[in-house]
Amino acid sequence: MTVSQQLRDELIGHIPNLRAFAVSLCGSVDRADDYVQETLVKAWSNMDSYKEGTNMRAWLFTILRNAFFSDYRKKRREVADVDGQMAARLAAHPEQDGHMDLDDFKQALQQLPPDQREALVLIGASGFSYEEAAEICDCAVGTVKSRVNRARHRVAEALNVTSSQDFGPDRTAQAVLSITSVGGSRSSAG
Amino acid sequence: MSQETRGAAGTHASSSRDEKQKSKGGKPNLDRGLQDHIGHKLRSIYDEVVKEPVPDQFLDLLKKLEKSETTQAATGAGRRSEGER
Repeated sequence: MTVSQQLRDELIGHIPNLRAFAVSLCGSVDRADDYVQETLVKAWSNMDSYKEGTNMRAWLFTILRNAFFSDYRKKRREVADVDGQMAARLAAHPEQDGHMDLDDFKQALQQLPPDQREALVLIGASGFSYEEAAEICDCAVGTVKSRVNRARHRVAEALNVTSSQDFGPDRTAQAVLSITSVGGSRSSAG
Repeated sequence: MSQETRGAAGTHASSSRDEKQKSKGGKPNLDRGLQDHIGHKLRSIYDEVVKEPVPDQFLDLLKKLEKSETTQAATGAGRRSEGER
């Protein structure tokens, strides 16, 4: 079955987002582009299983993340602390984009367990709904929500958000302090 | 209405205890301002990539895939080995 010009154009239209998603998952543009390449090949040869009018972006994202996680699980069996290694590698080779706090943020993102990172990106950047993200990740909506929540907490911790210096206004700092002392009088000894 | 148990669930900054609570009843949501700030940074790094033009390697790939399809259709050389392996 040949792929129509229309489908081909639509496919091309999704590549920028697919790349952005892949880069967020992998932490490396080169690895990301390998996954995008693989995804395009698979999508092309399985175009007859794509239902026209349905969410092509979600379909492509699903193909890509399945390949990523399949490799990730294989790697985990071979090498301990895959995430830590990745984070260490990024720390040693910071990107020279001149934005110190974005570098910190990128690092914090890569330090997340990949399922949390994926959920955070799908919801917070790729613009999917929780239902769509749940389909892509093949899990329950509640699972996506809790992964996103945990991811946010971890990123905030990794960025050491305990004072106003990172984020400026006192109001934000107070809000941060308030979430770490819900219940007031029962703060535990550090 | 024991506030002790309610208070305990989300108070600890360390995530070890919360990690064990896999299902509902985990941490409370992060402060709205922080959520927004994280979302803003996330979209900044994400959009950096979205804005880039589609690399040639992918356009070339699609051209190649298109070409091999037409070739297969013309010569009928596509599927002869199916079932042989």
